[in-house]
Amino acid sequence: MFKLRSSKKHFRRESTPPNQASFAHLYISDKSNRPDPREISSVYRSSSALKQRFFTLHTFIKFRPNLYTRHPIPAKIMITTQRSPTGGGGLQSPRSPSSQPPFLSVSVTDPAKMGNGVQAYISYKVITKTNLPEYQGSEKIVIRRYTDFVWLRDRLFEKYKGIFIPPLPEKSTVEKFRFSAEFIEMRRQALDTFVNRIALHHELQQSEDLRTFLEADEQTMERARSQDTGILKKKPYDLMQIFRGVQSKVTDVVLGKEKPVEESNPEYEKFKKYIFELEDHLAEAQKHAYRLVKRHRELGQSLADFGKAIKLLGACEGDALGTAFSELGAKSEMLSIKLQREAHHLLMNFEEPLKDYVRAVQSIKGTIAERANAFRQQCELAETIKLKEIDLNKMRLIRSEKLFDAEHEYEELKANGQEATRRFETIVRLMNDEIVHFQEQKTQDMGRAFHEFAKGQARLANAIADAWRSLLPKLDSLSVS
Amino acid sequence: MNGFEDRKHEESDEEIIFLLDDSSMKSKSSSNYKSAMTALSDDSSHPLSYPADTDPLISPPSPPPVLKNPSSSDDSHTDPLTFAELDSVSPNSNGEQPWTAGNPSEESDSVELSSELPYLKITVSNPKKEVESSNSIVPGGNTYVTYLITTKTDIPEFGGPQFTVRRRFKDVVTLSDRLAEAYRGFFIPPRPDKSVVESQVMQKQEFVEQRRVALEKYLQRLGEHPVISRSDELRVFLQVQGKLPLLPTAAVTSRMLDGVTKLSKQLLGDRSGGQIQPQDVVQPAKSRWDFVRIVKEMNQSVSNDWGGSSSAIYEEDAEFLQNKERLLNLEKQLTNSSKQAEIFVKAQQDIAETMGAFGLSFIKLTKFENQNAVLDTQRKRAADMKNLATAAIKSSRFYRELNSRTVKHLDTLHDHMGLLLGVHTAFSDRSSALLTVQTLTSELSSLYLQAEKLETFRSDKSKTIKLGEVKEAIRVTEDAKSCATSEYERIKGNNRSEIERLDRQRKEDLKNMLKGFVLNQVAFSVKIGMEWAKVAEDMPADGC
Repeated sequence: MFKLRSSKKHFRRESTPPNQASFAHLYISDKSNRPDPREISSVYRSSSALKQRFFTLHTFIKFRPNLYTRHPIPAKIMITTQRSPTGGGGLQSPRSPSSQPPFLSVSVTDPAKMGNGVQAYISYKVITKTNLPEYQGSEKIVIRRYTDFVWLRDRLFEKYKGIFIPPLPEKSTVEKFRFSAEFIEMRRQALDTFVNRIALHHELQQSEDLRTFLEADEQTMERARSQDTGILKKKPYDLMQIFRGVQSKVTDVVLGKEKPVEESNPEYEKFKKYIFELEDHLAEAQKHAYRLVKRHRELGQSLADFGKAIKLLGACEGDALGTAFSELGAKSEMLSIKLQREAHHLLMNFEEPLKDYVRAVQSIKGTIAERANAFRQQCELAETIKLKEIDLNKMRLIRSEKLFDAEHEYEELKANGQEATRRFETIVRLMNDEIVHFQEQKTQDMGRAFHEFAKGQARLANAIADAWRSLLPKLDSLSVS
Repeated sequence: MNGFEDRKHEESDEEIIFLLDDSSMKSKSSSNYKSAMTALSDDSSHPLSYPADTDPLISPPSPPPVLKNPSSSDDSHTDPLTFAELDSVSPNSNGEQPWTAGNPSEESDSVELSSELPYLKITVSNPKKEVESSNSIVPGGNTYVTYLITTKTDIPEFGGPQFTVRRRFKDVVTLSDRLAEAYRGFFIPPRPDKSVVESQVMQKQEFVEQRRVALEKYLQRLGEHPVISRSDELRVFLQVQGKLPLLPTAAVTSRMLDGVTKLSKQLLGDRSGGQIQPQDVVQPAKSRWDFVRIVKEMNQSVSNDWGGSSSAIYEEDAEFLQNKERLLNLEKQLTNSSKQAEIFVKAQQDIAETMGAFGLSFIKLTKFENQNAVLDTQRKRAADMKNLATAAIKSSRFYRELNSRTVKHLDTLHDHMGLLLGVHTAFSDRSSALLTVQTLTSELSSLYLQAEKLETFRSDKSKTIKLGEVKEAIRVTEDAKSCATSEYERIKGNNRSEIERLDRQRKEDLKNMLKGFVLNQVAFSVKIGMEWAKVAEDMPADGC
């Protein structure tokens, strides 16, 4: 399944290492208290759509009065205070106020549910701040939905072969969770990370599509998206590529075909194997990480229930012992909340970065497939050229009248061949750089995630120890009496 | 021959009653709990528990803990030791030192009680399979398990500081039955359940071990009881070699048998039985010999229910009723707490296991990255992963250990649920004694009525003879009644003192449970916290 899906994931590019970070600052908007362009944009809509949209927005605002703050998700599960701003993305660039060097920073905020029923979706405010001359102004706010992000990713994948395009969060989990506050917040974070990674990538940054994505009004965006879905819908081709990439050797051996057109660079072979196996290992680790989050929640829940039962039991005993029981119960309930909070922290700062890692690897697999594709084209062209050359020599011998045309054709083919070779070589060159970046970035990301994990566990264990320890004097006096 | 058969009959009836009792009480949930607990604490043999030993990537920094039996007597010795060791690592251990000395409830129990009671320590060990010798129809077909029961005591009646005896489970059943007869009104700790399992399962190591643990706990509880620990029944059980003599020799059985017969006849008005033995009435109506008595008492209890207030002696002890109410509520809360404790313990176990599996998956990832590393950044990442994985596996181990101790501490809840079963029995002893008194009272009043009627016909010779008989009957019944009344009063007294004792003991046990639980949580959380703090320090947030 992974392999099938991964064809859509395509390339990714990790955000810049620290030394590059200076020319592009991540800007986390905490003060987006401005008119919501959703209302402006809705003017363009058909009247019914407008009404519906306005209605939804209206109710939405009523339902969540803090819509315009950065974290409009109900605070019940959303414990955002300790979260790293990018959810594990490599984007914790310094917020230095120096405005001299060129910068482009984006923040994805204010997820809002739009529409109803099956049509319902979440829209995000995408706020761009930049001093790049290509951009219309220093600040722009647009409304985007998930499919717009998908469009951007697909466009970049098409145009920047060889670059690891940053991965997008998964399409959608179980329908039930699609509009859960937690899922929305996780996706918002992941989208924020995604678009900032692009903005920080020295090549992707210059993409026109990125500019369209960040600046075009909603209508233009929608038009571009609907046009391109046609062009970009040639997915089955990619799918085949992936399949061939993975299985060619097997099938070819089985079918007794001649050796497939494959790169025979042992170093690259090793890399490919590494990426494919890495995905499995990471997926496994991520699965366990998620389970661990769940276990924290369950432990929290059971501790709360245990606390309640113990309190009731204490009420039976009365006197000092009863008080001790009821305090134990109270501590249990308090720790239960702590456990829930740590579970959330774990989800956002460890499990999610790990998942992002998995997605990144899947995106690399897309690049691998593209490279195989380019290589095959190059080889096929070379083969054709060789045959043509033989033809040509024959013609020269018999002095065919077609020689002129054939020579012309041959030149054209040769140019094509050179072009294919150049394309392939570009991919190889880009990939070599990207791999280094990828490893570097992932070491950083993971280091940070591990740190967060360890810190969270230490914090939790210490909170537990402290809470229980505070009961000891009381218990001590019990045993004396 | 006949007598033998009858006895057998009676026994099986009792067994059925017992089984019924068991299932009607809370024992269903409690035995589930117990098995869950045992299953959990047995988990130390889980393959994941110490995975580092098998993995070359992790050099186990702590020696592999000794596989130990969760509740064997040895354990209670090693327990505080490990505990102290743990605590000494904790930064704030100084103030808590006194706690570590006698923390686990078992330990402090014996310490507490030794001040009030003579020393009596019973251990059960060394289960051995044996072949039934008497029943040789199928040679070797009938096997059973005996356990070595070792007693250490300074009670003078035992006549020695230490002795051992081999007993089988059936003997324990006999013991508990005899105790139930002889010590009515006492809160006798409940005997381990008879497991209705196939004989093949019976022979299994696991089952035998579970039963051994349960038996030890049961006998230990008996030994802690202020009255039962001094009983002949227990002494004979613990001391007398060979086949358990309680059944064939003890007068209780036969005495009860004919006693009850006589009582039945007596209640029927058949005075041919001759001399009355007043102690007969102190036995509850149980066997089929009591059929008539049962019918009579049944009638009485029905009339009690419908017009109870008119009855001569009705349960009017307000304090008792209040206590009964209180204990019932307590039982409810204990049951609930015990259930929640079970869920909590399960969740704690789950987190231990998941943490372990999580660590293992990162170990695999580390290995993989190291094998494939081309760049230094990859090696750095692998090193970070190893840090994380090692800490995860260590903390998984801590969680596991924490949990097996938590199980032991919270087992107190379950234990006291069990003890409340004994309370049920004692209370029903009380009400059945009361019923006997009531039955005899109404019997008497009808006899008096009869006598009164006969008095009016003094002239009639045959009536006079009849009157003599009735008077004799009245005398006998009065004797029986006063005997039954004093039995009832005795049970009442036992109930009262037992409620006090149980309350005291429970408070003590629960206190110890709280201490143990809290200390345990503190000690392990500190360890886990330190482990992770170290990792967090080694891996700064900036990743460099």
